[in-house]
Amino acid sequence: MSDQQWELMTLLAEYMFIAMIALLLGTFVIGTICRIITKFMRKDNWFKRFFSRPLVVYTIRRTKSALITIVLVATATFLLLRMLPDGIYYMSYINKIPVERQAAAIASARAKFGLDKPVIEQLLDYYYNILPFKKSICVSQSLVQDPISKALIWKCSEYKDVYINFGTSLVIRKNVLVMDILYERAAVSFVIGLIACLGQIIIGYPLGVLMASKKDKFIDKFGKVYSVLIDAIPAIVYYFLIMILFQRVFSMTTFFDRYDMSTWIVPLISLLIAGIPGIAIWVRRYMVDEVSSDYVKFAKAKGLSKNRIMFVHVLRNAIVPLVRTIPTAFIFSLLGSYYVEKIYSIPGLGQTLINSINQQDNPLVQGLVIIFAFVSTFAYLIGDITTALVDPRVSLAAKED
Amino acid sequence: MSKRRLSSLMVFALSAVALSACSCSSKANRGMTYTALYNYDATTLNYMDTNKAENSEVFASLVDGLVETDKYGSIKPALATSWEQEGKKWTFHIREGVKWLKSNGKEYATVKAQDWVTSLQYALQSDEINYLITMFIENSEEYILATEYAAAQTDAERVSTTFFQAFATGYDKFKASGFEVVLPTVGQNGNWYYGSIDTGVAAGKEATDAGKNAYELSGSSAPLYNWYMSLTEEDDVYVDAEGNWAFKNATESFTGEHAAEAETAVEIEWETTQAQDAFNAALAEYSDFDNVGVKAVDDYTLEYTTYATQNYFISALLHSAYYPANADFIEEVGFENFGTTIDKMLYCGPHMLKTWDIESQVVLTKNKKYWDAENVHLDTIKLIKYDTSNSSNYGWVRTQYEQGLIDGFNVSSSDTDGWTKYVTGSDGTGTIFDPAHGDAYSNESEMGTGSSYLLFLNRNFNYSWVENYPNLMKTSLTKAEVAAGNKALANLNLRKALVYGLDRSYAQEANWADDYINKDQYLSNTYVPKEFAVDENGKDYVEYYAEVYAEKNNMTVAQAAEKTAPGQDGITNLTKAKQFMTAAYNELKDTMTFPIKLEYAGLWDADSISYDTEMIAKWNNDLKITVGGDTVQVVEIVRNSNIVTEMDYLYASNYSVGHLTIMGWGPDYADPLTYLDTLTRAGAFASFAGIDVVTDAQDPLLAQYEALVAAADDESEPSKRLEKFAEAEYFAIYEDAMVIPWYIPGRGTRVSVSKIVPYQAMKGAVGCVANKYKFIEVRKTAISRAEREELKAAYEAGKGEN
Repeated sequence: MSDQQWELMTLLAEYMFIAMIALLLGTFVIGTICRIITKFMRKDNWFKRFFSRPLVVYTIRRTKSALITIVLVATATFLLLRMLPDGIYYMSYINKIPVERQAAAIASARAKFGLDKPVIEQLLDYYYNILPFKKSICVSQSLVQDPISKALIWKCSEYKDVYINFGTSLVIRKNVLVMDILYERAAVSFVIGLIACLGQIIIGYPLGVLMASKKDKFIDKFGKVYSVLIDAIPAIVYYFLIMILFQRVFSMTTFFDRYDMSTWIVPLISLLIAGIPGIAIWVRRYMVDEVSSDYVKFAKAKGLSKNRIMFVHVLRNAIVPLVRTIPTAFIFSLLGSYYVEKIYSIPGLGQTLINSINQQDNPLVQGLVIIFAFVSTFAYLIGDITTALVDPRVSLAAKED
Repeated sequence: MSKRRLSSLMVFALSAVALSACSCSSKANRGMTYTALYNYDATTLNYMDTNKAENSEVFASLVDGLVETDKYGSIKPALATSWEQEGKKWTFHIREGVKWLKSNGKEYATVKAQDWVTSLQYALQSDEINYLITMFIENSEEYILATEYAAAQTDAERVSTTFFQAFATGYDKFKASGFEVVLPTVGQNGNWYYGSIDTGVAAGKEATDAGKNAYELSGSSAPLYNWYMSLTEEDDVYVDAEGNWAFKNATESFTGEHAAEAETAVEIEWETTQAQDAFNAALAEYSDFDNVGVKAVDDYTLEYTTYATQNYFISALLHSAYYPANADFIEEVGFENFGTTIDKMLYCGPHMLKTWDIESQVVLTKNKKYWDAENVHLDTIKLIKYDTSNSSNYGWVRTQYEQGLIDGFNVSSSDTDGWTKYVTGSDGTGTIFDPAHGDAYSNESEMGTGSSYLLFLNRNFNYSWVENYPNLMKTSLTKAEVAAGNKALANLNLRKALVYGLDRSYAQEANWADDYINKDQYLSNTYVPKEFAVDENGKDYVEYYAEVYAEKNNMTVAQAAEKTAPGQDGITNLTKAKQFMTAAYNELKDTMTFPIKLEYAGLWDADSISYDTEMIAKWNNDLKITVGGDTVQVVEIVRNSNIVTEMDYLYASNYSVGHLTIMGWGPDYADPLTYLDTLTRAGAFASFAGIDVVTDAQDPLLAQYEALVAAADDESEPSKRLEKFAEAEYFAIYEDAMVIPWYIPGRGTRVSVSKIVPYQAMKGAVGCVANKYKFIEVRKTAISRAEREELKAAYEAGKGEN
């Protein structure tokens, strides 16, 4: 094994070691907190009464594992990014710099991008920065001329209090705080996602009910074919078809403009068409299950109208398994859809993630991955808790016996 | 209850969208609007920190420089009303009454001479663009080096700085001050001291290389490397049998481990206080920004001092590095924040930034308080992000034009419907020079992007890169094969054979599958592109080059002009290639075994691989010679099969891992020197031609080339200057056979349809000129070919007057 290979192996070992430490530390910290809480619970007080509720225990347990997941994701992303070569940051201009200054320029580029320190130190800095407590950072400096030496020196012109500091973007929006980019992008994705989500629910649920109540009739068959098509064809294909349809047939502009409402229609329709069958087919499935229940027969016998039975009685029961997906869908809408954003030039989070990975914008990738991890884990967490709340069949207390 | 809450939330969300949508849409589409697509997003608008094309596309319109160009490419006053040059000193008279505007249109301050001093201060801090300043402005390079020294924390770091090294090794600028040169030495305790030259240790060539590689690859032992580099050629330091560095005068040999210890133990100890004082004096002098060659004499007079008399300095002012900036505003928002959002930017250019949604769109509106507002015709410029580089999108782009969403497009042959409609016509009679559709026109560009691409014949493929960085630098050759290739390329006849034997026309046919029908149009026979440099009578550099070519090849100037004109292959000559190859064969046959492998570092994607394979097969075949009835293959060019990703390619091409690499150069200023300087030992491409470490004695031809370039640079009369540069370039290509000029992207003819009125925009390949929308007008319909002809005639007629 050559020295370089050996070096790489040691580097890998170092990374694995760091990852293990991080995992152990994470588990230990969260475990300790839980243990302290449990200890406190032994005494009989309001605290114990509160924490003896199964739902609370379940929530804590789920939150703990969600946090561990996020820590792991953050660490893995960080380490993987550090394994990429860093030439991309200075290769574009290094040839233009006089030879004797090139080494210094590379060193300063590495320092600027925080790559000059040992990996473990960078990782600890990173943990410190993403822990949510108040820290004051200098976001911007300016030059002043030293009155004595007449040299120019940097002085901080703006301090900012931040809680979570993902650093500043290196490539995509040079020197802009990653947090600011996230806010800006998530807002766009979220508004579009939210509207699409609501639309999907508003159309998807009635469609599902209709399909179930007219089982094996035309509407049911149509719905089935529709959902099979959407599942079977790659999303990009029908997104393009929709775009061409609107462009050629209806002569609509397909360039997204945040300030022009008419340009929102086509991307929203794309998202709607893609999202509706998923909801409709599941609503139908649970409805069909319920229709054969005794209470439906009883309702029929009572002479209730079919619509009333379907929408009031059956839907109410059938909806329970679907409740879990509603908060998830809403929260996921924050993240945007990569394809739709790309095709219509929408400045959302989905595109940003792909672009930042392509351009090796490490702080932005790290920030985005944490946000994605956070949103996903907590969306499922909330989904699970809602299910537990609304579904009488889920019994959390069972374990206690 | 919950139901109601949900619906009210929905209404809220919808109304928020509707409100934001209404507030702006009513204002749009008023006045003259230009809409286009763009590929890459601007990452920052801080023009003192970047000059990447995607950024200057946006910021070029927002701020003006001292000068601009007109439609013929000549320099015209912008924010400077007039200027004088006295040798190295340039005095600019700044236009009075120009205001800095904030994004809301309110006046912030007046543009004053001090603003150029401010921007230079900042631009000097940016490694990305400060090369544009350090090549001109007096003491700017020294200032950067002195700052670097001042920032060093320990003696070890200080010793490693270029500033200290320059002092210690008698850098020209210090030598002139008459100080004794001080060299480092190793003391009894293993520490390094700086003593007099007599006691200094020195290293052989090998040790120097070892130090260099170790340094560059570890990235940490800078002092070691710099120390080695400072040693002269004696044998006190050598590489021992185990590959460690050994010192004759030291008590033990320094292994890599010990070297690391020594590094931290570095202490600076001055032998004489005189030397120390001299050093401190130099440091104080160069750290003083006031000694850098820029000065605001008064509010409206700016003075630049250059290193030498460089008449072409005026063209460098077109770069954003020489744009003004307001110090108060930067202090307010901070340099890092400057240009990151619309409101953290100050405007004094023809347009203001209204929307900057990256990955979506950029909207520029006219600056109503612009000093030359009557020449700004576009009220709104809307740039929409869309990936136009992908050939499958060309048809889509065309339909966008046809629906009136964008104002122009290039017709591509991969969009068959569009190609038939606009170029060939339904009867198939149209060509790219005479398109069938009345709106389509033949869009010719002599200079293209101005980036000139070369194929380098690298005679010093440095295998240590591969040895030390096996994961980054990849080659398909063994160490012995690399060395053999280097040895072969050191042979002049073999290099000449390669130059004459590359059928570039054939290679072009295989390559560039996209939007060019006549692919030879890309070809250039000179490194300096046509239309880049002209003398006072409008005679082009390429015409001078043709004269040189005619003289050397005993032909008429007209014949030579045909050979040297771009757009065809005038270099390839297979008969000559075989002659030179035979000569090379005779010279090499006793010492080398054939075929000698030469590695070509090509692009990584499947298409390029197939093009390269085809090109290399032809090249190899053309270079075969017949010796005594047998076919002999002296060299075998092979593609580096280990390049499979973009990063592999970037590393291979940037560190010249390969015997044959392709690199391009974009001009920094309007003078042939910007191109030809790259092929000298101090030039940017030295390592690509493998000449960075050779001495005059080893390569007299190279010394001759450098002398030719230096002589041309000394010439101030434009016509003589161009002639001498042409001689130097001819020498580099045909007599030293260092490089093969290849192609200039964007050069040649393509068919376009556009609503932009032609021959109005500023012209030039230097700086941000091409990205300004000043002078440009857009019509409601495409400009017909007939009208284009008229406008062209008027333009050509005006050229003479100009």
